[in-house]
Amino acid sequence: MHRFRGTHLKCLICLAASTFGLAALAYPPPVRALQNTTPSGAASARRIDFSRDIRPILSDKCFACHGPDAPNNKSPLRFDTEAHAFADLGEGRQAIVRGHPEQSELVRRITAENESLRMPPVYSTHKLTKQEIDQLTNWVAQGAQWQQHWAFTAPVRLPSPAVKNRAWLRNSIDSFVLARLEQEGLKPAEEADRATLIRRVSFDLTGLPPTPQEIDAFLNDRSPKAYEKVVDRLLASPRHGERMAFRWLDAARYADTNGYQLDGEREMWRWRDWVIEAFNRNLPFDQFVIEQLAGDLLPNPTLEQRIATAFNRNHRGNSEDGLVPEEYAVEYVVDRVDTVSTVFLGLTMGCARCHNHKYDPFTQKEYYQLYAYFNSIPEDGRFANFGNSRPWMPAPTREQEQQLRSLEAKIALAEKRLAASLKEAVPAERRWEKSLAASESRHWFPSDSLILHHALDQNARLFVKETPRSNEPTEPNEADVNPPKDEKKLEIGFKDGLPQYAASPLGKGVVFEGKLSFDAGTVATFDYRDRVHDFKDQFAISAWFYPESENSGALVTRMGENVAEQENNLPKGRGYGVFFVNGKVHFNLVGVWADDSFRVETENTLPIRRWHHVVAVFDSLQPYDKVQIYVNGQKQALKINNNRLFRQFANNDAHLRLGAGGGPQWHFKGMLDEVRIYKALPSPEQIAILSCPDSLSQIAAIPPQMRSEAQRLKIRNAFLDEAAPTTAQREWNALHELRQQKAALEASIVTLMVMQELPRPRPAFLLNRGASVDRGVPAVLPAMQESLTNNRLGLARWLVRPENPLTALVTVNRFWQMLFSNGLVKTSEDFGAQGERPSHPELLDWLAVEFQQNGWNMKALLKTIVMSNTYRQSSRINSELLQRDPDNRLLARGPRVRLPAEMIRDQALLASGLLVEELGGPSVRPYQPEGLYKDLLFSNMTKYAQDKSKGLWRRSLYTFWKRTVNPPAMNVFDASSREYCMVRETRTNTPLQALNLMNDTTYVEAARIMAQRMLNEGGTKPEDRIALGLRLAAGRAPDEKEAQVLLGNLQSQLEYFQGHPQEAAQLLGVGVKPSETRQKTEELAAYAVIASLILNLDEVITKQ
Amino acid sequence: MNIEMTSPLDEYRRLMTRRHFFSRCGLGMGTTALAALLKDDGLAVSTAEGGESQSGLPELPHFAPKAKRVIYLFQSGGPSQLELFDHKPQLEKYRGQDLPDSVRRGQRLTGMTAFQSSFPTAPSIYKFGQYGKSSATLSELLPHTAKIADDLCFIKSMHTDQINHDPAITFSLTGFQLAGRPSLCSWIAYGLGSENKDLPAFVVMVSVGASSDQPLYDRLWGSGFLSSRHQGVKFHSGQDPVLYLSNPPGINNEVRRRFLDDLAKLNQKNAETFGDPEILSRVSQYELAYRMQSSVPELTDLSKEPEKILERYGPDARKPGTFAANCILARRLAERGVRFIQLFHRGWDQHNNCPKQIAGQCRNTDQPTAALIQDLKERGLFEDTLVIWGGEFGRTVYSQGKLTAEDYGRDHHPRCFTLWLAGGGIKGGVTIGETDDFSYNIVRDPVSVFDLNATILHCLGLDHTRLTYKFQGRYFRLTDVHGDVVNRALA
Repeated sequence: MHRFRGTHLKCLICLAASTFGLAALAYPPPVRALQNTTPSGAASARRIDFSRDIRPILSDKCFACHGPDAPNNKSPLRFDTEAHAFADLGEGRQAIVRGHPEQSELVRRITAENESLRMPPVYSTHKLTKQEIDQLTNWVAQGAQWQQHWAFTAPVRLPSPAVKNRAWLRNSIDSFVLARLEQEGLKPAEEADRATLIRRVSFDLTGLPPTPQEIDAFLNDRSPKAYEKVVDRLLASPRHGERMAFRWLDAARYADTNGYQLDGEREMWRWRDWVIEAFNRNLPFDQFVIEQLAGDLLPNPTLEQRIATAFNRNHRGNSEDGLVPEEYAVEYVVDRVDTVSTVFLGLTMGCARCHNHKYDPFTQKEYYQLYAYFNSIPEDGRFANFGNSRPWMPAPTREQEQQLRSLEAKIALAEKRLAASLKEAVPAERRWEKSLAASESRHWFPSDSLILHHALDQNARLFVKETPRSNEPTEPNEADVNPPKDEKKLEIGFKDGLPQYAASPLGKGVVFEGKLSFDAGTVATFDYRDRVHDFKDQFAISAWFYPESENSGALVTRMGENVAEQENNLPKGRGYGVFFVNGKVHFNLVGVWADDSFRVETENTLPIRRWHHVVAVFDSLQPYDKVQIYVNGQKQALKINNNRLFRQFANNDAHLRLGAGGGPQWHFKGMLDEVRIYKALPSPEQIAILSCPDSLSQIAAIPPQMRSEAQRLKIRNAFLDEAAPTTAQREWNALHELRQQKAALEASIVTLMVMQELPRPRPAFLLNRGASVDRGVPAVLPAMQESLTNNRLGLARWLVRPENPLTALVTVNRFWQMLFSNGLVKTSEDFGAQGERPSHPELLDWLAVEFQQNGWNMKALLKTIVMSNTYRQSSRINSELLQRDPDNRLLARGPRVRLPAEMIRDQALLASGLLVEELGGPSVRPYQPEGLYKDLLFSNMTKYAQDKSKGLWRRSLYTFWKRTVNPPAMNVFDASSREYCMVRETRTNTPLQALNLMNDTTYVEAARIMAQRMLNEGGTKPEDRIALGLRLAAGRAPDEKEAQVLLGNLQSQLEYFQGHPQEAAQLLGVGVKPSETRQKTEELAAYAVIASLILNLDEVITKQ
Repeated sequence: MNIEMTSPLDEYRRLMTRRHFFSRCGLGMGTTALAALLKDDGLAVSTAEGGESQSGLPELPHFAPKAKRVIYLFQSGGPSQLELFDHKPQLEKYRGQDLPDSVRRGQRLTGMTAFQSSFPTAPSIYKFGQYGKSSATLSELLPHTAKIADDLCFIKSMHTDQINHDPAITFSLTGFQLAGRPSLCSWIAYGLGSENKDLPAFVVMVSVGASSDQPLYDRLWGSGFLSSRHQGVKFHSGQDPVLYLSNPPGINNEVRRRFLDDLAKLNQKNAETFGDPEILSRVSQYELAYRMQSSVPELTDLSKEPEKILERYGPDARKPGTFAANCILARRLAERGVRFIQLFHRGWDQHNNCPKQIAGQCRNTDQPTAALIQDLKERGLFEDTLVIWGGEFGRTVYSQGKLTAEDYGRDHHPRCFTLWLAGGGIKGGVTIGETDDFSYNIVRDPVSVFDLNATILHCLGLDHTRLTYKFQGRYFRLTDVHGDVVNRALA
C-alpha cells in the first residue's frame, strides 16, 4: 500500500532538517541575524553565519542520512542538533572541532579524494559545490557557532535601525527596508504617481480598479491625508472582504464539489460568506483562527461560530463505489492536519506522516498527536455523490434566519388565536359532539400531503394524488379496486387471489394469506440523492397490521420480487419497505444492501395475532436519525442495522405494493388495514390521530376529561375541519398555512458541513505502527498552557498565544506576499529548515509583534503596510536593479505583478459596468465554453447550467468551482485547483491567456458594453471616448502617442465595419446583455474592438 | 523608441533564445528595434519561476534519448486482461467454481463485490491465438493489433496499489493517488520543454462517443506544483479545438492582426517605461496565440488526409472526436514535434455484460491503434515515438454478478494487468511477466506503475531519480522513492 501524502519510509530524496530537540533548550535563543540570503554582492566576504550559510547546506545535503529522522538514518551521526553535531564519536574523533577544520571529521569527509569516503555519497545524487565546501570549512575554522532555527524563536520587536536618508521614512517598515537598501548601496524608488498608486491600492484592498470618479477625487485632493482617506475608504468597503476571501478560499481549499471521481456538488457557500463577513467586520485574526478551528467548542457557540468550522470540512470527499471508507476517513484528517500546519504554522508537517520529518524537528508521533485533534468527529470516509456529508447542519442565511423567527412568532400568535376562538366555540363543539354520538361510525384522519390511501374495505378505492418531481402539477388520479380498462394496463389491484375481508379496529381489513398482494402501480416515488440532485424527501407510511406470525413479511414496500436477493433471511433488494420480521418492525431504504442503505428495526418485539398501528417515517433532512418508527402511537427505540445511505434507493422498476415485496417468501401473512402514505413529516399530533382506532362517535361518547390525548386531538381536528365556527376554522387554516410555510422554509435552508466533536474522543494511532497517541503539540514549539483544554479549542488558542512564534509570522508574511507578490519569506508555505530565510528578518518580526500587540487587527496591519513609503514606490525597473534583484526582494521598487485571475475578470466587468455587486449567496455559473464537461463526465453530469443574467456578471469568487474541471478562465490565469491547500500564488504568461482575453464571451461582451459606455459617457470626440476607455481600465488617460495608436486602430476598425455591417452585427451579438446606445452598429463594433484592445493591455492586467 | 533607454530590454534579450515571429509583422513605432530584440527565440520566460522555461531544463536530457515524443493511448476504466491478452486456457475447468482462497489470499475487494456470497470463476468466452514471429498471444477481439504484434512489448505483470478508478488513474498518471502531484506529461514538459514553437508541448484528447463511463479530471494532465504552463492543453472535439481559439464572430484575421500590432506597440511603450521584461514576454505570447489560431485548425483539419489513410483507421476516422480521428491527430501532432500526446478512451469498466461491452470497445480502438503504429512506421516516426497502450488496473477472474454461459461481469483488479509499449527505445516482439492460472497474482517479473513511469522517462533520456523539483522543502520525483527501469523492454 502506498497511500500517504507525505514521503515514504525509505525516502532517499527527502532530506532532513534542523532541530533543537531538548538539548537545544540549554542555549538561549539567539536574536535573529541581520544578514540574510537575498542578493548581495558582498555575501561571500561576510563572516559566515550559521543560520544563513550553513544550516541550509546541512539540511539540503546532509539531513537525509544525518538528520532528525533518526530511526531511518544511515548513520548515528546527526547534524540537526548542536548536541549531536559536536558529540564525541569515539576513538577521539569528532565531526566538528571548533576552530579546527583539519581535526573535524566533517571537513575531512566532504573533501576526501577517495570516492568511497567522500560525503555526500555518490549514490545519493547530492553534491556539494566548491563554494559550499569552502563555507563549511570556513565556518568550522571561524569557531563553528550554532544557532537555533530562526522560525522557532519568538519574534522580537527591535528598535528601528538607523538610516542615513531619514527624510524618506514614513513608518517603521521603511526603516527596516531602507537600512537594508543602504547596506546594499541602493536607493529606494520615487513614489509612484497618484493614478498608479490609487489603482494599485484599490486592487490590493478591494480587488477592483478605482472608478474614474474615485481617481479624480484623489488626484484633486491636495490634503496631506488624501492617500490615507483612500486607504480608509477601501478598507471600509464591503468589496474588501471579498478581496481578502480570494486567497483565503485557496488556503482553505474551498470549492462547490466533492473533488473525487464523480465530483458531485456540495453546499459550502454559507462558510464562504462567513469568511467575507469576517474580513469586512475586521474580526481579530486570533478570533478568526479560533472560530474556524473550534467555533463549535466555544461555550454556547453561536450559529456563526459553528458555521466558521466548515474551514476544516472543505477538503475533498470520496464517494466512489467500492472504496474502503476507513482509508478515506484517514485522508480527510490528514488533509486537515496538513492544511492547518501550512496555513497557520507554515510547516510541512505532512512529511512526518510516514516517518520523522527529514528536515524539521518533528517526529512521526507528533504528527499523529496533531492528527488526534482532528479525527474525532462523527464523519464517514465515504461521501454522498451529491450534497453534504455528515456532520452537517442547517446554516440559514441571515435572511432565512429572520424569516424563520418571524414565522415562529406568527405561529405562536396563530396558536393563541386559535385557542381563544376554540374557547369561545366550546358550546358549539359540545353540540356537534352530541350529534356525532348518534351518527354512524366514522373517522377523521389528516389529509394534508396525503398522496396515497387504501381503506382496504369492501368497495374501497385506491386514492392516489402524487405530484411528480418535475413540479408540474398533474390531475389527482383515483383508481377503483377493480380497475377500469386503462388501469389494467397499469396492473393496479389485488394480485394472486381475491381479497377476503375481516374485522379490524377500524371496521374491515383484508386478509393476506401469504400469496395475495395489492399492486398500487408506480406511485409513492421517494428518493435520497443522485449524482446531480438532492431530493430532500420526507415521507411517512401509516398502516394497521395484524401479524399471523413472527415472520409475517412485507407490509408496504416499493421493492422488487427477486428471490435471489436474500441475505441472513432478510429481503435485501433495492427500494424501500416496511416489514415484520422476527417479531419486529423493520424499515429499510436500500440502494446497495451492505454499503449504501439505511436500515433499522424496532428494539422491542410485538405480540403476534394482534392489531398494531405503525408509522414509519423517513426524513432526508436529518444528518443521522433519518428514520423513526412509531407503534401504536409510541416512538420506538431502534436498532440501527445500517446508517450509511449515500445515494438513490428508489427502485423505479418496482411497484408500490401492500403485503408484498422482497421476494415471494415475504408475502404478508396476516391482516392489513388503512394504509396511508404522506409526503411530509407527520407532526406528533398527526401520529397520535393516525394511531387512534376509535371512531368519532365512540370518542364523542366519552366525557371530554376522560378522553385520551389521541382521542381529544382526533375529535378536535374533526370539529375544526367540519363544524367549527368560521372564525375558528379561519384561524385553524391560517395556522396550518404558517406551519406549511415553515416546513417549506426549513427544507430550503442551506446546509453546511461543519466540525462537531464526538462525546468521547476517538482514539488516534500512530498509523502503520499501531501505538495509540494522545493529543499534543510538537515539542520544539512552546508547550500548550495548562489552562487550555487539550482539544481542538485548546489547540486553536495555543496557535494564537503570544509565545507561539509561527502563527503571527506566517500570517503577516502572507499579507506581505499578497501586496508585494513575494513574501518576506518567499516560501510562504515552508518556514522550516528547507524554506527560505526571510529577506528582512527584523521587519518580519516587527510586523508579527505589531500585529499581535494591535489585537490581531487585520485591517490595521494592511493599513500600516500600504501607508509605508516602501509600498508606495514606483515599480519602474532600471537595468542595474533588474540584474541585481530581478525578484524585487530588496524592495528598491514598488510591486509590479500580473493580476490574479479573479481581478482580471472582475475589472473587465466593473469597467464595462456589467458587474453585479451583490454580496454572497449560492455560487453562480458564468459563461463557459459549451461542451466542456461533456468529454469528461458521466452522462447525467455533463450539463453546465449557465446562468441567464445576473449570475453571469457577479464577482469571480462566486463562480461555481468544480474541482475536477476548473472554470477555464480562472485556470489559465493560474488559479489554484482547490483540490488541496495552496498558500502561494504562481504567475505564468502563456498564449492561452491571450486567447482567453481576446475571445472569451465574458471579455467580448464586456468590451461591447464598455464601448457603449465610451460612446454614451465619453462625449462626442473619439479622443475623449478613447480616453474614457483607458481610464476605466488602466486608471489613466493616454498620452499623445498612445492616443495616436488607439485612434489609428479605431479608424481602421471603423472602415472595416462600415464595409462589413454584418460582421459588426455579429460581433455585437456576443453575450446576452442587450446593447443600449443610439450609436450606429458599425461605430459600436469599432469601439468594442478598441475596448477589447484596452482590456488586453499588459498594463491593464497588471498591478504596477 | 530610443534603444538607449531600453537597457532592461537588453537584459531581456540576454534571457531569450532565438525566434522570428516579429519579422513579418511590419509594425510602426519602435517595431524594428523590437523585432531585432526578439529575433531570439524565447517563449515564456517568467521571472517569477526562476529557471524554468519552455525550452526545458539546461542539463537535460540526462543521456541520449531513444524517443523524442510519447503517444500515450490511455484506456480508462481498466481493460480486462482476461479478454484481451492474458490467455488462461486451463480456467475452463474451474468455470463456475469459487475462486480458491489460496489465490485470493485475503486481498481486499471493492465494496461492489466484497459482499458477494460467491466468487464464481469466469473464463473468457473469447478465443486466443498466436501472432507474428514472436508468437504473441492475443484475443480474437484484437485482429488488427495481432498484425503489429511483433512491434509491441507486452507487459503482462503490471500491478498497481489502487483498487478504485479515481485514485488508480491519478496514481498511474501522477505517481500518487491523491490530487496535488504533477502529471507524467507535465514532468516531461518541465524537463524537456517544447519542440514546436506554434503548438503546446503537451496535448490531451478524450474520445467522444465512447460509452459514458468513468469521469476524467483536469489533474490527470495538470501540473501540480510545477508551473501551470506545463499542464496539458486539452483539445476539444467541437468548434474550438483549443479553448477560446477562434476569434469572436465578426472579427477576421486582418482585424486581429491589426489589433495585435497596435497592442504590441502600446505594450512595448509600457515596457520602455517600466523596464519589466515580463511585458515583452506577454507580447510574444500574443504572437504565439495568433500563430496557434492558424496552426491548430490546420492541424485538426483531416480533409486533406488521403483516402487510403482514413480507411486504414477504420469507419470512425471521419467522425471528429472519435478514438480513430484522435489517433490520426496524434500522428499529425507527432509529425509537428509535439512532445507528449495523450489520448483517453473511456468505457473499459466492465462490471457487467463484459463480453458484449468489451467487444464494442475493441471495435472502436483496435483498428485505429494498429493504423497509428503502421502510419508512424511509414513516416519514419516510429523509431523515435514511444507509444503506450493501457489502463489503470485489470479485472477480476471471478464474475461480478451472475455467471452464465455467455455473460459475466468483472470487478476492478489491481494485482495484475496487461499493458503494451512500442516504438522509440522499445524492443518489439517481447512479452514480459507472467500471472498465475487465474490471472490473479503475478508469478514472474512484476512491473509496478513506478517502474513503467521510470521506463517511459528513460526512453526520453531522463533518469527518473534525477528529474526532481523542490517543493515544500523536498525534492519531489514522479517515481517518489520507487521505480526501476524495465530493462528487458528496452531495445
